[in-house]
Amino acid sequence: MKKKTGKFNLILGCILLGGIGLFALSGLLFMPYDPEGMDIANKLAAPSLAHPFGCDNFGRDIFSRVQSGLLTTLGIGISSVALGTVLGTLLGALMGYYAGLIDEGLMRIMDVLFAIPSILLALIFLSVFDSSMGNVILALGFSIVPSFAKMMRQEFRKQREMEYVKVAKLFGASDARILFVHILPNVMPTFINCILISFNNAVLAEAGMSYLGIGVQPPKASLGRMLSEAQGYLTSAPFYTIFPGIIMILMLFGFCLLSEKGSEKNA
Amino acid sequence: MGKYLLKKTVMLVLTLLAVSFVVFAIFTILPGDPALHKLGTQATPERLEALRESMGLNEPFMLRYLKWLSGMLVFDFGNSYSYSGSVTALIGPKIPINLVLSVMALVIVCCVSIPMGIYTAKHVGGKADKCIMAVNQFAMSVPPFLVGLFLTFVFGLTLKLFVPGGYVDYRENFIGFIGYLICPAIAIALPKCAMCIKLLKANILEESKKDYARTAYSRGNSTTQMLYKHLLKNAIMPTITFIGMVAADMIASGIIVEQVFGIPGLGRSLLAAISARDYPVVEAIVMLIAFLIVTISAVTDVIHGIMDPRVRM
Repeated sequence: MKKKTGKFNLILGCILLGGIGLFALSGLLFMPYDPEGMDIANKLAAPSLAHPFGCDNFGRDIFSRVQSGLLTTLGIGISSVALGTVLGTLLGALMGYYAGLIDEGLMRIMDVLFAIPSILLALIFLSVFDSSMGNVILALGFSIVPSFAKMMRQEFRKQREMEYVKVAKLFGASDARILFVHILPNVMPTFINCILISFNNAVLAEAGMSYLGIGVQPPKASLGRMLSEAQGYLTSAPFYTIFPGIIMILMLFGFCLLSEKGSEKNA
Repeated sequence: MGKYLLKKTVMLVLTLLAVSFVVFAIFTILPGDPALHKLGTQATPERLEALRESMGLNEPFMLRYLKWLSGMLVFDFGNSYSYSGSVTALIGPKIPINLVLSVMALVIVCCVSIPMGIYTAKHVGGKADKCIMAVNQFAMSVPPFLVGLFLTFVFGLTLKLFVPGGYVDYRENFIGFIGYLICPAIAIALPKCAMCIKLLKANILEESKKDYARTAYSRGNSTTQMLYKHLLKNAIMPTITFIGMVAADMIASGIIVEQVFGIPGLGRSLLAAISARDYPVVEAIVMLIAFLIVTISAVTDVIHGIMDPRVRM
């Protein structure tokens, strides 16, 4: 019974994310309108054949803006998670494998970082440096590191005591080789799950930040910013909120289903 | 127990000291001269220098840090750069808003997720369980501010149960204030509720597979007795830890939800202060949030220690 729902979740998650991914990628090849091109005649025009998702308060086509906003979000998500994964895994491996002083010291630093919510750190970072795409990626990437490192640390700590690690040591394998060639493949389920959770968090944080107006700057499209603009037109143009909102929910839902699958496998 | 408490308190103070140092250091290293920001680019170098002197920016770093730190002990966070008042006077009245909002959200999480978690675990595999879990899965992935938008649309604009943006100050009308905060609190609580239900259910099911549960069953305990007398005691532990984390996280997600409902709380002051480079205000708010988070996590640890003596070692 349990297995069946797990499989269903996995398939549904893949379909959702695949669909969203294709939708975003299709924006690279074909966008019906220029996402930044304004057309006042179509201000807040309702969805129609010409504009399937309608138009926003500047007469920009919402369909094209959702496409380009998704590309931005996914781009930021992928790069910041890549950054967070590399740093988080390195730190987690160091802390878990070497234990002792390195571990104690780094853990205390992590405790301090945990005390300041990552969204706050990112907010401060972005307000001081300009909110270019690169800085958004840096801010989100670093904010992923503490929790990622903590999760990986536990896994490396467990594996350290395993027979195969001791054998590898006897054979004279270097520490770096043991960590990344021997242990890493054995912690794959947690590793993949960490990546999925981080991706989910990064996308969520990006949406929240651009909703607050810190993050990708206009006229560049971003789902969070579209939603904050749409809030003023909730009654007159509900579709402006609905379409970006639904796309965002579907994407996050997809990640949620996949990471769910990963954690079940883990248990 | 006394030793455990002492150890926890010492750790708490040390962590807070480290946090305060990091926060202060960040805002000192950061580029952007507050004096320049206050006077504008047209200011003469002499005036800039005079202002820096009077703001105390020319003193050595450690001295400024110690001054700031000792001020904090008596709730003196210095003076705001952009408003000519003390930071305490500026953010003090806003603290109750966020505190009430977070507490309301926390109460919702506890009151909804614990009974629901127990219910789904008890009736696992049933129709109600499947429905709740499906909704749950969905609720988990919706960001709080979207829930806020949805609630504004349904309860504010369609059913007209509250006026969006019509925030009532707590000093004028406390009942109206609480009423206005219900929707924001739900928006913050919903995703956390979903996670909590899932965690509690998973923990109860895991406990029920253990040996002691089988023994208790074989001694003739009914399912209900089992659940409340034996399983729950062990299964609630990770949930308490999680609720502690949630409480900490709520303060952060409150910043965003505040904007959705137009509540003039700490979040709005923080955003305004960040864009005005009003560092004393930002430092004070960040320290306040950090203090709450560290304290909450220490308190959950202690509760854990009281309930499970093994943790104290």
